[in-house]
Amino acid sequence: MLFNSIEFLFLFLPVTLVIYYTARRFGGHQAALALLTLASLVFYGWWNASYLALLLSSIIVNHGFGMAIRHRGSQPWLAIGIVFNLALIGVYKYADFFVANTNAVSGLDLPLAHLALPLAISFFTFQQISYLVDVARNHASPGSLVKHALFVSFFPQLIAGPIIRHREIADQFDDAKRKDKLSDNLGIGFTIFALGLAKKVLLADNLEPFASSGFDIAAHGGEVGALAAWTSALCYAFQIFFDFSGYSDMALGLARMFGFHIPANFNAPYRATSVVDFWRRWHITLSRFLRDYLYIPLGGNRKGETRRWVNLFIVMLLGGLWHGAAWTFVVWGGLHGLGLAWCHWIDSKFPGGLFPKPLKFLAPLLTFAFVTFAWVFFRADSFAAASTMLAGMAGLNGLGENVGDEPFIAIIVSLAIIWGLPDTISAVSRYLDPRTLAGQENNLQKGWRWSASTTSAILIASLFFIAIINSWTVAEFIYYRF
Amino acid sequence: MTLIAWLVGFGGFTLLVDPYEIAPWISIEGVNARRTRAHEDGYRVHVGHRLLTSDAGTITLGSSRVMDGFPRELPDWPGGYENLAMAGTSAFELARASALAARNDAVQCVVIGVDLREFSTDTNTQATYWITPMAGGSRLAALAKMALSTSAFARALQTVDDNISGGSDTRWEQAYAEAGLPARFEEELAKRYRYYASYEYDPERVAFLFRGIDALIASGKQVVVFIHPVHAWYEEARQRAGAGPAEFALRRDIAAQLAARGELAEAGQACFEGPALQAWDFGGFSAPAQTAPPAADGSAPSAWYYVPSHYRPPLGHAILERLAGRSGAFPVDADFGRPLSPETLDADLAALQTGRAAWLQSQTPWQIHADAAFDALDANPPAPEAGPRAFLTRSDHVELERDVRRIERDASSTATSGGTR
Repeated sequence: MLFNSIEFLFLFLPVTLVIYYTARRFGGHQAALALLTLASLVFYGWWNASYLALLLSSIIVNHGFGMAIRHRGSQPWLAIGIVFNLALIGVYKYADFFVANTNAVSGLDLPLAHLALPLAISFFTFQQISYLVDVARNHASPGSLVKHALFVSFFPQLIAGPIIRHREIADQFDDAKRKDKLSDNLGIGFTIFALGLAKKVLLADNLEPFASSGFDIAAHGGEVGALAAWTSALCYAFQIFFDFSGYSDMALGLARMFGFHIPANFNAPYRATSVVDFWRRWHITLSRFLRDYLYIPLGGNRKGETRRWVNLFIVMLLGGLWHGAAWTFVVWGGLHGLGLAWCHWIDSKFPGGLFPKPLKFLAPLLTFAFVTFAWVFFRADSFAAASTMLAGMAGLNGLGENVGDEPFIAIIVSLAIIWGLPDTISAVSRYLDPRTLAGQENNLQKGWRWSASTTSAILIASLFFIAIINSWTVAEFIYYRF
Repeated sequence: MTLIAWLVGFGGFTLLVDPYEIAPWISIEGVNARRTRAHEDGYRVHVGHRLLTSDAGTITLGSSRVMDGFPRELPDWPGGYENLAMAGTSAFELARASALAARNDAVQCVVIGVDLREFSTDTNTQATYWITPMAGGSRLAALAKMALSTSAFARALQTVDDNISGGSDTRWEQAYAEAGLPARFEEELAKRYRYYASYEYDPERVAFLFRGIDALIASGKQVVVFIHPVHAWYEEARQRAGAGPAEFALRRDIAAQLAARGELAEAGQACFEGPALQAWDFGGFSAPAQTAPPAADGSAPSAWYYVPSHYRPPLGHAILERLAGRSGAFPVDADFGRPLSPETLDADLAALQTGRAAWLQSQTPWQIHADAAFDALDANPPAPEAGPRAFLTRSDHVELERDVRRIERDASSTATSGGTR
């Protein structure tokens, strides 16, 4: 069930809201949480009921590990728990990748398992690992099975994040005396959801054909000219931002409709002035996870500059691999690892920044150019396709076929939105909880702010309506496949 | 409240007017009694629902060539007949339409017309595809999407306007007015040459269509895929613009799809002799294709064609009769239509070549005229049509596969339970 599908908008969401608030009013907090958990499992099972067993197994087993860690000590239960989660994702996501590479290197002909990738496995696996580590570190308590199930399966964030830490949501689940102002929850939640839906269906889905055109030609062995290569690469950079940040906004808004505050995942990443800054604004909860559960345990910056660069590189390689079982994702992560190391080196050599004040505007431009270049590996189906695209971007195939005016108009509109308007969390910042802003308070953009009024309610309702009537192409969110 | 007002006002109006004639029982004089816009957007919204509700034993699917080239109704056809073509369709839509029609128990036989156009890298769908049951399978959801669709709302407004003013879509009604056909016949020489100069054949779409057809076969229906009999001017435009190899590739790929499915038994309730899945080639330089274009002064219209790309219903009827093994009421050349299979592939390709050679040697005035026109285009090539190329996506495959497997699973469990009874 996609957030922009008719079943979700007109059936699942309103019914779940009514059930949740009715249960909260008449059945109590625990009953409401239990019903919300049940609804989340229905949401997950809607795609493929057979994977529900996998999700439930993961919840039950990890809850057992959490209890064992709390009552019997971290070791060996933490290690066993992490191995269990990595094995789960390893089997479903990386088994064929591993076998194919083994075959390629050894000349063997081991059979591929061809297991379908269960939806959301990358996301809920990370949440489970963070849960076990936090319980072991005494940052979280195991809680009840129902609350653990809701922490993992809470439908707004289940499929593609944000990746929530147990302690960020557990206290909200535990707070039975929480006083909800229904109109605030629905009004603010609905507004954020509408902005996210508009990003997805009005922007991302309309950019998709222009983005896919060049990449698909490259994937089918065709030659891509400079016009097609650049318009495709740029449109993809915008598409993935509007798509994923739109999804994250919808998740934020949906959670708020139920009175929960989850961390923001995006904050105008294409305004970043360096690769380091980019990762503080793009997929914020993944960056946080990689920092706290991988980079710091590897030693972080505590063992010298060289080791820090190596650690960053390793973290980003694995971050790339987390996105997909393909070497193109590893290269994408590796490029960002190099970018991060380079930026830290520049910072150490030029504490005041690389550019003098009049040329500071070059920093976001160069960062955006680097990120767009790296996206080519992320989007391309193979190295051959990525090479074709990069050859096109380098002008090696000439200007190529005329791509028409539309991609250029799309690029100009996207740039105007990205660099001219504040991102969602800035626009609605005065209504967001500190738990949602999650350290972004000092990084908000200036400019337009949404404020609750009759006029803005009418405008948001109209934007939501326009988004709805343009929702029917049912384009899957890009991050659903990870 | 604003949102509810928008949804109820917009959606309610569209549903009430029902511009695509999905619920024909809602008929209000002066509002929507005349569904003047049901044909808009290639009929696909109407067709999407009829695929599930039609009670005809035989249906035809395809593009505007089938829509215009086959009868709308054939009262005497055994088991009933309905033309469910969609203008501007593609292999993607035809595959989804096949998977949907597989769920209709009344349908026994499905005849699908194709040619190179359906397997190009043009866009997979028209915008209104998404508000039909083909996208998702549920009539109720499709109805809700239609109610909340800008295209349907625009058609509803036009319908009401037509009903109030007594107007209609004159462009649609006069598309094949005899007086304009000689000029349109002539225009197509350059138009088709230009299209095929930038044509790109996508073999993946042949496999995709046949995967949709698998759902029809699994549900016990007979399927006939045929290649359209376009006029020789159109065929020659393809050859001269460089799409000749694609013509061969399409026939090879269709034969390969048949080969991959092996010998299929006759369908449970067959309409035509032969196995449950068969392919026919009515394309190439057949006798009807080589007939004269309409006289410029309108004194002698073409018996078989409106324009080179679109034949008339008598030729479509002749195709059905040929498939049924009858000479029919509109007899054409005995060689019209060749079975296409792995066994007949070489003969079919040879027939295509000899047919063209015969046409080139025919030296009829219209052949000489076309040759000269193409020579001029070769000498001064027009700019090829440009647009973003589209390919099938991972989710296209996943969704079709999910639907087809469900039907295959249901058919298999029905067969098993039937066998144990």
